[in-house]
Amino acid sequence: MVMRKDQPTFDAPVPGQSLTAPLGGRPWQSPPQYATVEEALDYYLPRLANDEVIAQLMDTLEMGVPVTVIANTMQLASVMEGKHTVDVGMLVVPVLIEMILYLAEQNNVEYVMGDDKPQKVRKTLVDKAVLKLEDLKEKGSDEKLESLEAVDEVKEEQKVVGLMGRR
Amino acid sequence: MQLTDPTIILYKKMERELMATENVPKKSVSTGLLASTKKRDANEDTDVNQPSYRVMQYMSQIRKLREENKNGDA
Repeated sequence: MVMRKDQPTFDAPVPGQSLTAPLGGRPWQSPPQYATVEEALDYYLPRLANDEVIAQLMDTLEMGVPVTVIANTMQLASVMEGKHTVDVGMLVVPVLIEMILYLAEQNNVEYVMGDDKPQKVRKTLVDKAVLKLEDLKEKGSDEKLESLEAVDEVKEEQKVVGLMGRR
Repeated sequence: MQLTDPTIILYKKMERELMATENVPKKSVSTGLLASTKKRDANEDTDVNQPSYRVMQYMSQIRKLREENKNGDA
C-alpha cells in the first residue's frame, strides 16, 4: 500500500494576485460602512444578542474553539465585507471577547481563552523557537531584574572624575 | 499561539490598563466658594476622545455585568 505523504497545495494565490483586481473593486478598498468604534459596536452587539447566534456561539465554544479566535474571526470577516477598517476591528476585539465571555458564563458554558500553552507541539522550527523563547522569558525574567539592579548600583557608585570634579 | 495572535495580546494589555485605572485613587475636588471655576481636569476630555479609552470603558461595563452574574446579583 502506498504511504500518503502531505501533498503540497497548489491552490494558494500567486504572489501579486491581490493586485490584479481593479482598485476599489474589493469591499475593503472602499470606505468602510462603520467608521468609529461605537458604530461598529452598534453593528455587533445586537447580533450577539440574537438567540440563534448565541446558540451557534455556545456550540462553537463547547467544541473547544478559543474565545479570542472567534472574536478575531468575527472582526476579520467584517473587515473583508467592508463593514469597518482593520484598526476599528482591532479596537472592537476586546469588547467582543468580553461579550462572548459574558454570554458563555450566563449559559454555563466552559470556554478556552486561547492564551494557554498548546498541549500538542508541532515540529516546525518556528513553533520550537517560540516555545524556547517563552521558556527563556519565564526563567530569565528574575535573573534579568537582578542583573539590572546590580548595574544600577555600580552606576551609583561611580564618582565624577572629570577635570572639574572634586578630588 | 500567543506571539502570532494579536487579539490575546490586545485583550491582556487592555485588561492590565483597566486594572491600573481602577486602582488609581480619584482626586478630591474642592467645591468652596473660592474654588477655581476653570475646567478641573483637561485630561478627562482628551481621554474620552481616545477610542482605546472608550473601549476600556465598554469593557469595564461588561465586566461589571459578568461579576454581577457570577455573584448572583443579576
